[in-house]
Amino acid sequence: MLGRNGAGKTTTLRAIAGTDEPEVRSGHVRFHGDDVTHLPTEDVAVRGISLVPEERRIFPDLTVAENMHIAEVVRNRSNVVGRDIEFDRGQMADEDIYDVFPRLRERLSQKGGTLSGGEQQMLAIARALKQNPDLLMLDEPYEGLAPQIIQAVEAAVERIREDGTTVLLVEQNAVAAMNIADRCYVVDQGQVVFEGTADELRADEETRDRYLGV
Amino acid sequence: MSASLLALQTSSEIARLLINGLQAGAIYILLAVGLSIILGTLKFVNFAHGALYIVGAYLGLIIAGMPTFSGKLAEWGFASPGLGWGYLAALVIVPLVVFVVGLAMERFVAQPFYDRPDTDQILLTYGIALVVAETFRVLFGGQSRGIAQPPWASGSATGVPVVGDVLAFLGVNAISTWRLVVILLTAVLVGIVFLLIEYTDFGLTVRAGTVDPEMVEMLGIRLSRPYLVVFGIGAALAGVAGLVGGPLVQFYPGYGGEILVPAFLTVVVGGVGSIRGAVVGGLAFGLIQSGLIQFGFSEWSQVGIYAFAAIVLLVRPQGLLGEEVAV
Repeated sequence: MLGRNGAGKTTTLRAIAGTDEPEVRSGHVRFHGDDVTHLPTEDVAVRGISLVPEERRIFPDLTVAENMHIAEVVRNRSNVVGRDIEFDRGQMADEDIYDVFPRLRERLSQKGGTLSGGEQQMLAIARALKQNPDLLMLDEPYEGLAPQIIQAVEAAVERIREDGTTVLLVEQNAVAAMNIADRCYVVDQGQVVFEGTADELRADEETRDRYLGV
Repeated sequence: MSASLLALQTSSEIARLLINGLQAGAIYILLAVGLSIILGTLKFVNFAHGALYIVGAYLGLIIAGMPTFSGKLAEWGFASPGLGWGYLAALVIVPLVVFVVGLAMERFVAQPFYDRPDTDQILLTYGIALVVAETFRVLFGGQSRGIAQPPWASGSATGVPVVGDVLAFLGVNAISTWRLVVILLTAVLVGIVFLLIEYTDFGLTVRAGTVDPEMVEMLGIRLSRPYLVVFGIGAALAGVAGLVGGPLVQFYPGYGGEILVPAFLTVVVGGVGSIRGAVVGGLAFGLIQSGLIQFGFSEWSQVGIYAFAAIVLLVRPQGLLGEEVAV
């Protein structure tokens, strides 16, 4: 999902995730055929939708291992925070996740807040993977990262996609996004103004020029 | 006076100060830990926390002994509702009952006010504290009460095996067993809460929820249940404070309001949301208070606490172990 600042990209992701803000006033969010528009955030999450917010929002006082573990406590019915739900999706093994982000494996006992920006982004995505979502929503995952780290995160996103998870990527950097996207949506003032493949968007100079400035 | 005798006297004074300070601090700690986890996690300002102390104290009085009351209960023919089951029974039943009271308080009082401003929460809970105090006054009468020390813990600690030897070694001879029981009990309870918060999935969720509740929900976790339990634990600790404080300090229906102020100060001095902070704050208060009493400044003991709190807050507004808050 591409668009300029303030086009409504983050708002769309938050609306899908069922957060309090924004309140969805019209339209519907359907997932696997079910209407999830007005479900509480936690119920949307257990249905297989994970959001990695722009600010990453890892828990700074918790270790990397704890940041990962908290994404799975909901599956343990024997504790007070577990949910009485049949999860039809299995759980992604830690090893598989750390294969995608080997750097995290070395930092398991480190507090989240002491990680670099890139490592925090990796942790935020890894934590979402721990939920084993069917839809992984990433809000500007490359924001503020060094080019080298961007490449690593990009490679990870590609691998997640290849593993069969749908990735909804919100990005201002249109070129980077088009490199890995199957389909592109250009948003402006809350409306989808273009929908098509990355090649189609590359060919549509007017849309790129008008809405993306590339 | 020989140097060794002087040293012995000094060590005895210090030991007495430590034990008295720990015991005085224990009550503050029990109250402050509960208050702090509720305030830190749920961001709920509970001015009715002192009322839970009173509920614990009166409940303990009724379960453990055979007290006679003068209020409406007496008019209705229940002047002596005591069960006389003994202190240990009270120690088991009081926390359980006050835990349930806490659960009800969270569901019906706190939850509808989580998103309301602090002032609304304060007005509501202060009102509840007044209603509880007046209800107790009407039912039980207004006179001061104390809970009798259980026979197994009364008398001097010097007769207790091992403990007595340690005290004799330190030259301490006038410490009641009860004070040691209070200290030990507080240490065990606070230790359990600490382990619960630090090493369980429940605690992990609570700690994460304190920082970013929305993100926790985005991980599929429904926070209402751990919040409920946090409130219950905080309430149970306040109830236990009332029960163990009962044999040490006289209480009356309005005493909850009186004890609330130093309890809140303990939380603020230690750092909101920090269990370690509540313990450090409570210990500091207890030691200052006991020190002033021991060295002949008993009328300054309360002033000492407030002066210490003022100095701490001037130097570290976030409290001794609190996180720095961006303003």
